[in-house]
Amino acid sequence: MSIPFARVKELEKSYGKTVALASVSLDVGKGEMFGLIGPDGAGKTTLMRILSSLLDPDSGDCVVAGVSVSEDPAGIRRIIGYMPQRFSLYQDLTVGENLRFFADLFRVPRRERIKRTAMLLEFARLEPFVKRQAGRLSGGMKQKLALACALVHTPEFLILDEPTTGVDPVSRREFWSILKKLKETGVTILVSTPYMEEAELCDRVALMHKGRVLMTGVAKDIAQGFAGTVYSVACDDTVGLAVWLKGRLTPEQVRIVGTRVHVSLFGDTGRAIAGLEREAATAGFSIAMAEPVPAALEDAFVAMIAERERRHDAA
Amino acid sequence: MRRVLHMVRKELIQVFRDVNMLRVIFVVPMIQLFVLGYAITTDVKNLKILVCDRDNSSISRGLVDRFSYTEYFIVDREACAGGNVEKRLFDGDAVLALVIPGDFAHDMDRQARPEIQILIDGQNSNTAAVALGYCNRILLEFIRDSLAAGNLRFKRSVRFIEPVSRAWYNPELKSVYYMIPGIISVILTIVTMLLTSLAIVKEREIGTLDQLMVTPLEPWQIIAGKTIPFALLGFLEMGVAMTFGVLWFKVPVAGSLVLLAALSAVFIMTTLSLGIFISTLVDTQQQALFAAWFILVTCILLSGFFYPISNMPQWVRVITLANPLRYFIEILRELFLKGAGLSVLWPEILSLGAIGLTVFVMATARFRTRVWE
Repeated sequence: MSIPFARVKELEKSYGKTVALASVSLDVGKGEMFGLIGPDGAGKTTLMRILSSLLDPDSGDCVVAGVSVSEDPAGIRRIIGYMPQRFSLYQDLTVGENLRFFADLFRVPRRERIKRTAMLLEFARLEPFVKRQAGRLSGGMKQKLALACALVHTPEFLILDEPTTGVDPVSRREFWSILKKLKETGVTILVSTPYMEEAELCDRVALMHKGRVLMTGVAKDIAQGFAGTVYSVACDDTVGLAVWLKGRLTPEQVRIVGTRVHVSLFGDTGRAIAGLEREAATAGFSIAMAEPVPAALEDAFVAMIAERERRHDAA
Repeated sequence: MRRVLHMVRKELIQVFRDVNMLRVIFVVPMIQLFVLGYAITTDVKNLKILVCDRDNSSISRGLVDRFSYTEYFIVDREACAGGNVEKRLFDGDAVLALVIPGDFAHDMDRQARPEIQILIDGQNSNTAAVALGYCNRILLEFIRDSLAAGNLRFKRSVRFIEPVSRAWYNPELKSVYYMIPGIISVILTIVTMLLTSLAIVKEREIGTLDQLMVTPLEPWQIIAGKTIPFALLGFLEMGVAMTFGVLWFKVPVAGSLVLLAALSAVFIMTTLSLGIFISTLVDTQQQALFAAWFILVTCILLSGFFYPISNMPQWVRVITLANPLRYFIEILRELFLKGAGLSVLWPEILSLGAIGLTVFVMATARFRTRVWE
């Protein structure tokens, strides 16, 4: 990667005694779709708000397309489009009025505004709802409108804070296909998500936990870098087995995937799984043969967090 | 500047789309003006007076007639027959009783000291004082006329110094003339202060303030965009209220309308700034409502709207010096009734302007820091 389009340099931010960001650095390339992954409280929103000039960091800086957030916040606002986590448009204005209002604030010339609005409405498939008040849209449509409003001034850098949280699966898929098309037009996108399968749609991701970036890379590579083995187990009592396993191991090592239970194991995994199978049978679970499956991003992430916690405890 | 216009336009669309809001802005104040115009009155009219005329002579009946000829009293001549006067006063059946003893005419004729008794329910001290004043006036006229007619004689000749009082600027002492300017300023305060604070807090509550912050809008443009619409609404409201007051209550407007508009602008700047200030203190619309309500009630009670400031203890009077409503009500009353101009009003205008400027600077400074938290 040549010169990064957006560079986050050693950002630190605390709210009182709570550390939201502990020296976070990131590089995002031009035209890249970059994902921020992590549980609630990992610092994703804080990072995005600082990057959008809404929040001042305690130290560190962000530079987007050569413009520094701390030196020229107004300049940054012309480059970026920001979509906050919570729907925050005017519910009592119509779809068209919301778009027009934000276009006007960015001084989009009239002719261009009309063209751009029509394009965005078609893009988001919101044309039939131009005259509908935003408060009366469905959750998925609201998110598409918020995206359209964030795009109305043709930003080069789009910052999306959990745009699909709380949105139904069909709308989520549609939203991501819109993002993909956007990326093809050359927009650089930074998007946070709690959904691992969405992370795998990004070019690169950063895994965040407790205000730190644990790892940055291509989702598939991170998953392959997983040091242990993931076993998939079928059982007539999936939930019961998961609860029992969480008691035996750590909760992070066990998760339910569809009708099966996935268990992440480290070290001599062959022996460990055999031992677990015997114990489970004694405990009264009738389980089918456990088989190793390729690790997913989430497995790697969970393992990494568990590893960190263990080291932290040791220290 | 364009951006401010876009903000104003958006705000007005929102206000006029909200039917409930429109009701709050336009219908409620008119009802207030109408009802309060009648209700808040210190005039005493149609008071029931129990008359117990034990003399029942032509002279005593003449005295009672004088009471019944005014619009202040409704005379109940059967009070003596009807039962205990004291009990009826206690029951609240009437607030006033006139008792004329049996030898009233006789005493007058004999040049003894004729006496009558007036009983007043002092529970409502304001009404009692006003009613007593009316009684005294009627009795004074009765004595004067009796002297002239020779029905009453003094042992020695007495010269009366008779004060003739005339109330200027409001000759009939109609309290509605005094109240309407007060009500107009209160309504104006509600529209500008309350609605501004609510509108700003609402943006923060639903998160749109963040969305505005990532546009190239400057904080002063946000402030202007949130206040100008309510200033316009305030002026509109004031125009409607004044028209209503002039046409319906026949309140005279003796002063210059241009001066009135200019001074209202100064006052509105103060209340809008208070609205911004409130919005920086609170997080939710409910809290804003409560804070605005608290400020409003305090300002009204300490404004001289109902109770004259000169009646307040010294330390409270000092507090009222910081009350913008006090000056504005004073200005409105002077302007409406006396037609006072700049030469008379300048101390109030200076005070109001100084308060307005102080609140404005404080509010905008707080708004800037609060926004960037």
